[in-house]
Amino acid sequence: MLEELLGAELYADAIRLCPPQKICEIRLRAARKLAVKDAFLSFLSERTIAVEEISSVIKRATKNSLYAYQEELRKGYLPFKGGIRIGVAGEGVVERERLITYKNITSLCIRVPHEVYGSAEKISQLLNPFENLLIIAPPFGGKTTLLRDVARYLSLTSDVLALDERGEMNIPEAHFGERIDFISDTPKSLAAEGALRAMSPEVIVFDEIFPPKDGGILSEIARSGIKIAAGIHADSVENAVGRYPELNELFRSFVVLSNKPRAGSIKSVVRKR
Amino acid sequence: MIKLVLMAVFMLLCIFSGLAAEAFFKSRAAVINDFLSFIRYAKRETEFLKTDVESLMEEYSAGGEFKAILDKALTDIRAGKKAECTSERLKKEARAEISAFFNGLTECDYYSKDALFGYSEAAAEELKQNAEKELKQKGELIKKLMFLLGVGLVVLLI
Repeated sequence: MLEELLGAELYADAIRLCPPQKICEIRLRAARKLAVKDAFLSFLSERTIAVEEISSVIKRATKNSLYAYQEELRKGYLPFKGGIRIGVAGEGVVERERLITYKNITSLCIRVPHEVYGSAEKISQLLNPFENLLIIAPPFGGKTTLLRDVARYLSLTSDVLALDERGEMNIPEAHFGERIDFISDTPKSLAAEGALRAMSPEVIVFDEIFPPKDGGILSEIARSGIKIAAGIHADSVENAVGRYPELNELFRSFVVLSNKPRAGSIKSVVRKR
Repeated sequence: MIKLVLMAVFMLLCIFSGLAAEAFFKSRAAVINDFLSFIRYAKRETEFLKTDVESLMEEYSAGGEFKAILDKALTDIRAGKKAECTSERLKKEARAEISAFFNGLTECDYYSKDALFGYSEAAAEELKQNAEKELKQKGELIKKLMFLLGVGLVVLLI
């Protein structure tokens, strides 16, 4: 899949730096060196990336159809098959104080998801019995990977609905229980209401929540008696709850992840009484 | 007897030549018409379903010649090349418009696609009118003239 996205030459350079099954992130920056990351280390290639190579990757990612990815581009990323997410940076186009798209894209951050089967076993005490769980991690901290395995674990015994806004959870290599449903590539705010009524889940799993935008839905779900497992960007419980006090009321368990010494390292676990 | 056979052969040759000339102009008009229909189809699909270019080209059901044009463009695009229409049945300007539309579609974003559709639809309409005019003015005229030529040859032989 990565080869299909990068093209033969770039792919060959990337796997020279790191074996393909270990690649977690690839960065393409115009006029800068190709950078590849695994769970522990970063590697720099001698190859300098040309703007045309970035354009070619964008064309492959969008199947030559940039117009079809407007909403994602506005949010700063492009999705690709297999849960690969491509962050973009370049010149923003702003209209009436609203970012509408990016043009002249000069950087791509290609995130490659991996299933870490059984990673949720480490926090199994929080999953059985399950109370609302918030996974807190900085970027590249392993939040989605752990959430995916939490979804797998819970879907063995409960009806789980994954609101997979960026298509990162339901990756081809991942294993899940029999009792899971996915709503993919749809903003949480648009998918939640209908899904609550129509799918009757016992647990809803969100990839990344942003309380100023998603707070209303989260409260509504919690009020309806459905359990929540979600992830958020922060580096500690205090930081997350300090910024968004409503999280303290919504969640009973918190797992803090760190990207050191490797992505997915558990830094602390908090369970409220 | 030989005269009779010659008359029949000349007559048939002239009729078939006339019909072939008309068929050529008819198929040119049909390709342009298919192109216009494809633009309208792509406009609908991209607006409501955000269907990508490759699926549009792959799934569109078209007649023989235009399907061949679509297949070639799809192969070009997938190979990372510019799509190029090389159909010999079409005039240079029609080939250029078709190529420009395919390439525009692979490069436009959500906001610029409307301008592309607007322009290409107008251009295809004009091409269609010209092709239909040619069909009437040239295709049908050649068919009639060839028939008359056949009749003339028969008369001469008599």
